[in-house]
Amino acid sequence: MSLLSLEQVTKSYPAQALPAVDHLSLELAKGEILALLGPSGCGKTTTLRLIAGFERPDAGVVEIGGQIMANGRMSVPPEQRGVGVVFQEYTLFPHLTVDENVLFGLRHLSAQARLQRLREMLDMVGLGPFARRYPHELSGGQQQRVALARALAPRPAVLLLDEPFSNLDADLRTQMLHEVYVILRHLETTAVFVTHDHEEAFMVADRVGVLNGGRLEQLTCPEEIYHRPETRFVARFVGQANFLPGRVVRAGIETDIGTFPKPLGLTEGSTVEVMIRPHQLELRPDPTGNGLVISRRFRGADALVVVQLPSGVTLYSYQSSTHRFQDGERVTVGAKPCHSVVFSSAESWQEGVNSDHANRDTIPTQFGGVPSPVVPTPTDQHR
Amino acid sequence: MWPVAAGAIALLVATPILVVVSSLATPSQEIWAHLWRTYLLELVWNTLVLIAGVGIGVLILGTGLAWVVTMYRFPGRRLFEWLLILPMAMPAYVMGFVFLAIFDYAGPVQSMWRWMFGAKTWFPDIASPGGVVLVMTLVLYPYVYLLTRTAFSEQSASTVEAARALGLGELRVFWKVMLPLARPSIAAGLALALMEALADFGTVGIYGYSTFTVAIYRVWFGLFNREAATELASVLLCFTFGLLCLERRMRGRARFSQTEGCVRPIPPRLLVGWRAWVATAICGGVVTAAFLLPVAQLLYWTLSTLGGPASDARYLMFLANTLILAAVTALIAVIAAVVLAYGLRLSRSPIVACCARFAGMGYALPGAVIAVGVLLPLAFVDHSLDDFLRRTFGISSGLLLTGSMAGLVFAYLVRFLAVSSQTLEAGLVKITPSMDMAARSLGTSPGGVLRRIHVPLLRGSLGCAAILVFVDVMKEMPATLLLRPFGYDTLAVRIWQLTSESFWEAAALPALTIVAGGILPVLLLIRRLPPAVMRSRAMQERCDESSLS
Repeated sequence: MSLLSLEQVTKSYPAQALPAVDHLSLELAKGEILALLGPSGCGKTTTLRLIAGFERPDAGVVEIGGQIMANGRMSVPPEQRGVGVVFQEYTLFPHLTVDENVLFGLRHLSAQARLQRLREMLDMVGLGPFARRYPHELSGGQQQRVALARALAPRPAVLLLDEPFSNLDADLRTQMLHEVYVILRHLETTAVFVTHDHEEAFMVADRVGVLNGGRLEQLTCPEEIYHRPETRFVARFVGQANFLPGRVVRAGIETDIGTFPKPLGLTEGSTVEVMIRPHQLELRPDPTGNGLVISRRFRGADALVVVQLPSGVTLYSYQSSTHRFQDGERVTVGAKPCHSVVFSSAESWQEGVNSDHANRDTIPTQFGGVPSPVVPTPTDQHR
Repeated sequence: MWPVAAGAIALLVATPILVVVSSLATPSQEIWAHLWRTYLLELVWNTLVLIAGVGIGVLILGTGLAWVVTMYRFPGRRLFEWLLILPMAMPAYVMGFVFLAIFDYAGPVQSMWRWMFGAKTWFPDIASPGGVVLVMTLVLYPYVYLLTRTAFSEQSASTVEAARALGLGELRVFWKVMLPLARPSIAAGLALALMEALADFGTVGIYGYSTFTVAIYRVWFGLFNREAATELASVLLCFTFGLLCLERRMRGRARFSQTEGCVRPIPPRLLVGWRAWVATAICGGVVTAAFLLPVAQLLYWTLSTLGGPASDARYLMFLANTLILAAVTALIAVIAAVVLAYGLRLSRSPIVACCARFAGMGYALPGAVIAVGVLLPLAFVDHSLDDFLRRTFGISSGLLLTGSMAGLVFAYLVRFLAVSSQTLEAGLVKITPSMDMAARSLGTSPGGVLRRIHVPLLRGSLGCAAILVFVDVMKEMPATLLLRPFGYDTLAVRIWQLTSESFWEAAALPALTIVAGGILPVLLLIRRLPPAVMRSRAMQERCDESSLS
């Protein structure tokens, strides 16, 4: 049985035409970590607030541990839901010390149990020596740990984390990400974690749900999300992507750089686009090659090399930085994807299976409306 | 539950304002005809003269001093920066009677003058419109000074440098760049000063200068004509609304013209030689005239009469009366403010927000107007109750609320609730809503969040709010005079009684007490404990923002 379930949950705000969360359904098993991923304004934080009880859904049902927490008519107040929340800005109580902060939610326990839990929590996040400090005397990472300990201390059924790492700088973020992951796994905590950073989501979560305009575009394990995106939006949001035009023939999908395996259900003769991640492209120096290097940018571990094909299509690729491609150099462009992710220009397809969400993303993404690290696609350049 | 309580408080406090406004909508022909024949024109003329005179005075003094202390370095500048705020601690009526005593025909200055230049030499009459304007200018200029100085200090040095690079001299930069940029703040300060001038009762009273507040008092106590008093109050209300509109419009614009983020402030230029001493002399002169001289005179009188026949034996009783009233009101005002602010935070309902904003207007209204607005509904409740009891039980309750402490405290609340609630709200908005959510998700109810999170975090703001209301109640004169229980005299009332009979020396001790109390908020202001204090004194921008949107 699922520990947390959302069924057709909808939430609108008065001033906005479109709902912030639109018929969202998802289920979470005990001990599972779910990441809700999406650009700002996609409804991920609202979803979190609906689970916590800070917002009431207009329609739909929120259940925690088999009990109805909210439907269109009633809503259990947050203090009775047994959820823990870690906020983006930590929001430690500034007038209380570290141990008072952690003890805050433990009033229902006996004095002894309280102290034991406190020690347990502080040991877990490694802040025992800082128990008497006030929040402003701690670094960002330490504050984050206190926030985590405070939220976990009452043993919540679900832990909700709202962009918990976005206030930390890059090095610390990776370290905290790992620590949090270890702690959540150790306690077998069920957690929902909101972020706009796909790498964070991939590193921590068992499953990732990509939200766009209040709707769930795809909900599955990180690998599937990355390698088999169901929609163009997902494809672009979780990493950079080239979309290479191709034509369906008997042998597969014919493109400028070779023929790709054909998923089932494609009509011969139709035109499609194949998604290729930049690092899946291979460039070989070749004076008679089909590609022309038009730009190279050294990035450290690798280099971003942009090549143009005879048809005018430009492709973005990551190449080992040891070879210095020159502007104007001719190369052979090849790709070795293990499977083809194919989108038609009007709809999205994946391995020949028509997706429910197919039509929703085409207009905004085709015109580059995605606020994410997206490589301009060949399609965009054509138009 | 919180929003309902907040709405109830807001409505209760808004009632007196609504009463006076509604009397404006239903004018009585007969009374108006009478007022027109007798003194309406004189009142309007006097009020206009007062507004014009005080307006020009505070503009020159306020902006001029702000400019001198921000732009130049001269001996004593740092000290003057805050000394120049001190006259705010002085109620106009205290300054008024001290000046009257010093500069009147029988006073020391004129006696000296006659001794030096002969009995026939002309000397300006202090008990004149000019005298009233002078006194009010000296106590009210800090409003303009403070807001303008803040505006100047928020202006970026690069703006000034750009103007200098384009070939403008220092003075021209002031006229062409700094003054226009600060104009919204200057206008807001001006509106506040003029609102105080309109509300003043004590000064115009002892100077025999008839304005609306004095007329309301006379019509009320002299003629017992409450309808006429209400009509007069409604005219005064129109003047106040005009100023309120000016203030809000200017404040609204001020938000847009302020630069966000950190700006490099304008570095003051060092003045040397006689120029530096002129600057020092100007600032020193104003501080002396508006604060040091009156305080010294009050001290002298107090010490010279201490224990003598002129001293007031009942001083301690008046002091106790004042402190009790102020403490009770401060406590109630802070509690009401907590409910109001919390209701607003929890509900986000536009109706509650609207009520709260309306309730906050009391601060702009003259005490005399509020007294009229409070008395009518109280009398109505008393009479209804009395009728009901007499009909059903055959007993008479008499006047329970009218002329009681409860009625007086209610009037104070109408006038000063805005002070406490704005101070508190300014503190509350600094607590991010996620703090509430964090506490709620850890199993705390809304009431628990208030008790365990907000109250400890807001201790400073709560204290500030209480002090501000306390001091304002101490100083309040017209509403106290009109509504106090019979024989229940406060320090302010005592000052009125003594000064209207020219017992200056006896009035010195109560006046000194009130000035000492008045210094408290000024000190808070200087320490900038919460910046909210300044704003609540200055009618608060948050309130305006929400009312504009």
